[in-house]
Order: sequence, then structure tokens, then C-alpha cells
Amino acid sequence: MIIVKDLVKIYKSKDKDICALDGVCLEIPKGQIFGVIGLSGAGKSSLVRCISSIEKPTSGEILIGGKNISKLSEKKLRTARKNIGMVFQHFNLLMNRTVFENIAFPLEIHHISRSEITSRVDELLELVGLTDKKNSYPATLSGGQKQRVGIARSLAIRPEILICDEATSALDPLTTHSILSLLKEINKKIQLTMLVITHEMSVIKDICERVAVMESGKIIEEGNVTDVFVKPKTALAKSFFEDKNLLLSHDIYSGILTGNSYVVKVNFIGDNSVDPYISNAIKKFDVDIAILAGNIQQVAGTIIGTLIIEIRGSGEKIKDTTSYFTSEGLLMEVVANDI
Amino acid sequence: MTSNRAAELKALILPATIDTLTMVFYSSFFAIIIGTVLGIVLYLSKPGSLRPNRFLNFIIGAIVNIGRSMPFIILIIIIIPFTKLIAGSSIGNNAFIVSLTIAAIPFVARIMEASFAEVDSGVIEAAKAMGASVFQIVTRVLLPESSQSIISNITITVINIVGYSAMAGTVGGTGLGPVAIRYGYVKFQADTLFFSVLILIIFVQLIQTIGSYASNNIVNLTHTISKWVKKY
Repeated sequence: MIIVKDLVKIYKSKDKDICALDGVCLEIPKGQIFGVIGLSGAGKSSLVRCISSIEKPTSGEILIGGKNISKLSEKKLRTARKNIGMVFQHFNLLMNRTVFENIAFPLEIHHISRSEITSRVDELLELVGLTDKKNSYPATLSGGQKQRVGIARSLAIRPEILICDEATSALDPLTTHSILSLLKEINKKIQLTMLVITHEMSVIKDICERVAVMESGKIIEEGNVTDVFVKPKTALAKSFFEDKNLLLSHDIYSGILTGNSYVVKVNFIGDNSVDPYISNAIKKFDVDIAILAGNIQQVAGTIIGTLIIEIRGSGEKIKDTTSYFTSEGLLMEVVANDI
Repeated sequence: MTSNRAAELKALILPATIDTLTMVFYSSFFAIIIGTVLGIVLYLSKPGSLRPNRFLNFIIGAIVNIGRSMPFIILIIIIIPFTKLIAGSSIGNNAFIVSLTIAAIPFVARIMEASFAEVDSGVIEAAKAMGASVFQIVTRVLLPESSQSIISNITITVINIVGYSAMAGTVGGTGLGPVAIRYGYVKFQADTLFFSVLILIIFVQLIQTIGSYASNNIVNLTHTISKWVKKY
């Protein structure tokens, strides 16, 4: 469990102070995968560096497993770090150590016995599927394999929380997918609390349960991934989660209005995505419905369907149709109308 | 060349070779150990490093710079009191070992610092985030990760010291350098000069070959050694 309270980090420089974190509050319950998304310079890295206590926050509190790590002495902090595993964007492996020795590194640091190290590392190698690369050097591995070593290493001392700092940003889409599945599998297996920092929307969509959107040192929006995905409140969240293939350009859709019609976007979420709403509406309200665009995707394990449709008919009937959709719990947004 | 002359040459050059070897060995040994420690201190005390200390960094940096800007021949004279304190005399081979060591330390400190700076800062940060102490970071990350470059540095240092060792004569020391100057140059014995120089060339070639091999294979070498140590 991670609790962050009013975290402020100010970098002092000669000319002016830079406020990287401006009162960040977070609460991540045990076992949850929590995503933080933001553009470069939003303060994501500062947040990670403070939570992993590589840097001391200017003010505020960070509680990990009930312990306030922002107030520990350096010696106690070294022990507390056992509780935090980190996966890095550029892997940060020791190039002169083999895969085995890299994973053994944190265990050596915390004075674990030789025999225990051997069995633990073998176990981790199997978990990440690299048993055959045991004696290879990082230079001979692909990016995805390097990150698997990084993940195995981060789990070696059995941390309670895992911080993934842009863990897939240096990987191609296919490798990203396999690394994300691995992280998800680990999360399920050992109930690991995970903080995932990224600028890629697909990462949030694939593995996170909750998401926080950061901008200029603040969390500007937070919620369940499905909610933020279908109903983003801020412009930044919208730009992250908006489906680029279903751009709701008013110009395009108002151009095809045929008189007495609405163009609406309808979201079908989860179980209700399988009911035949469109044909129901046509039968019930005597309207014509043309499907202009649509797609279906999985967000945080939930199926979300999106349709852009044109409803034609008399004003009254169109109103009935839209209120029918709303009453069925579908998320609806009018894109254009000519009534 | 008569067999008589060959015997004479042998009697002259063989002990000189051993003297040069001894002097180079001891001064390299001490210079590398002390220089590496200073290099580590310079690295750690740099602003933004693991133990930033502007004052310490400035002082050591200044001493190193002064040491490096001093011509060797001048340095030998300036440190005579110190040499006397350590070696018990300001002349002879032991005195010269002290001078050689002192001259090489600042050089070693700087090149080691440069090697450490090449170690990826992300790796250092990762070790820190895993809870490694500064001592553990130095012994388990900094030194092993820069081992290739450290071996190259050592090679360069030893070769430099071989070069400097030719000046042993200035403080009454012996070795190939003084032999080449005294017999080869002053007494016009071309053969003495030739063989002294030949042996120095062979030295440097050997050191470079061994150094390059060790630098390229250090990782495998340390693994073989550690396996061997565990076995016995």
C-alpha cells in the first residue's frame, strides 16, 4: 500500500526554483496496479524518484506499508528500500555481470546466503522465462529480454511494491505487450502493489485499474481507467484517451447531416455492449439509424464499444431515441445535429 | 662481437634490467593503489555524486593538478625532504621509487576518475534504489563495471613509469636508463645503448600486449579466477 500526501518537490537552481511536484496526493491499495500518465516534464519522474527515495521531497509524506519513508535516516532507508522494487526504462543492468549475477545483485547487497540466492534466482529466471539465458551477458540480450532481467531483479528481494518507470517506453509494441502481460501475471500471482509511470496510453489501457493524469506537477484527474477512458474530464485526459480513429470532428459529421437528423457517439461498456440497442430503437421509435463509424476495444479488462451513428426521423422521435439510450445506461454524446 | 664483449654486456645489462623491473613494479604498485583511492574520492565528492563535498573535491583536485603540471625532474628535487622521510635517503633506487610513485599518483587519480565517470549513472542509481551502501556501490558496481577501462589505465600508467624510470640516474639510481646514458652515450658504447633500448622496447610491448589482452578478457578472467578460488 502506498500513500502519498501533499508531496512537494522543488529543484533549486541559480536563476529560479523549479516546482516539479506541486502537492501530489495518491493512495494505492495493496495489490492494485495504479497508472500515472502525463507528458514529458509533467513531474512523473520526480514522483518516482521521491517515492523510491532516490531524492528527498521538499515537503509532504510518503507512506509505504504504513512506514513514513520520507523521514528515515539513510541507514534505515537502505533497509526500507527492500520493500520497493524498481523497473527502469533503460534497464540499468550491470554489463559485466551475467543474467544470473544481475538478478543476484540485490540479494548480495542485503547479505542473503549463497544457497538461498541460487534457489531464488533460479525461481525468478523461470518466472520471467529466461532460464536458458542464465549465464549470458546483458549485451547479448534483446531489449525485451533485458527488461525481463530487470523485472526479475526488481522482484528478487520480495518487495511489497513495484515501481515501473517507463518500463516499456524503450521497447517495440510487440515486446511491450509481452512485458505488460508478464507484469500483469506477476501482479495476480503475488498480489504486488504496482505503480506504473508512462506516457503511453496503451500501457494504462492494458494493465492499470486506476489512473492519475499529471500536468505541471499536479494530478489533474484521477479515477478508474474505464471511467477516465470513456468520460475524460480534462482536455489532457481527453487527448490521451481519445480514439484517434474516431475523431469527433464536428465539421465532418455536420457535412453529412441529411436534414432532421442527429449524429451521436454512443459508448457500450462491459456487459451491456452485447444487447441489441440499435435495432430496438429502430423498431420502437420508427427512426432510421445509419452507422458512420465504430470500434470495440478492451480497457482494463472491460469491453468498450464505440459507435458513431446518425439518427434520422422527426425531432420528437430522435429525442425519444436518445433518451432511450441514456435510460439504458449507455454513454451518449451528440456530435452534430441540424434540428 | 667477441664472446668477451658479450659477457661484459651481459654483466652490465642483466642487473640493470632487474633494477628497472623492480623500480617499475614497486612504483606502479603503490601509484595505482593510492591513485585509484584518490580517483574514487574525486569521483564520490563531485557535486551531484554519491558523497558530494565541494571542499574536499577542490583540495584534492588542486593537489592533483599541481602534481600533474610539475615536470618530473623538478618534482624529484622538490620532494627530496619527503623522499628522505620515506626512503631514509634522497639518493639511490629506493629514493627513486618514491619519486616515481609520487609523480604517477596524480595521473592515475585523474584517469581513474574519468573511467568511473563513464559508468552509466542509471546503473548507480539502480543500485542506490536497491539499498546498496556507498561502499557496496564502489566495490560491486563502480570498480567491476569500469574494469576494462581500469586495466587500460593501468597499462598506460606502467608504460609511462617505464619511460620515467630512465631518469633514475639523476638521483644516483641504477637500471637500464642510467646504463644507456652512462655507457652508451657518455662512453660511446653503441652496443650498450642498443641493447638497453631493445630491452625497454620489449618491456613496453609485453606490457601493452598483456594489458590489452587483460582489458578485453577481464570479465572472463575474473570469472575463471573466482570459480578456481571457490573450488579450492
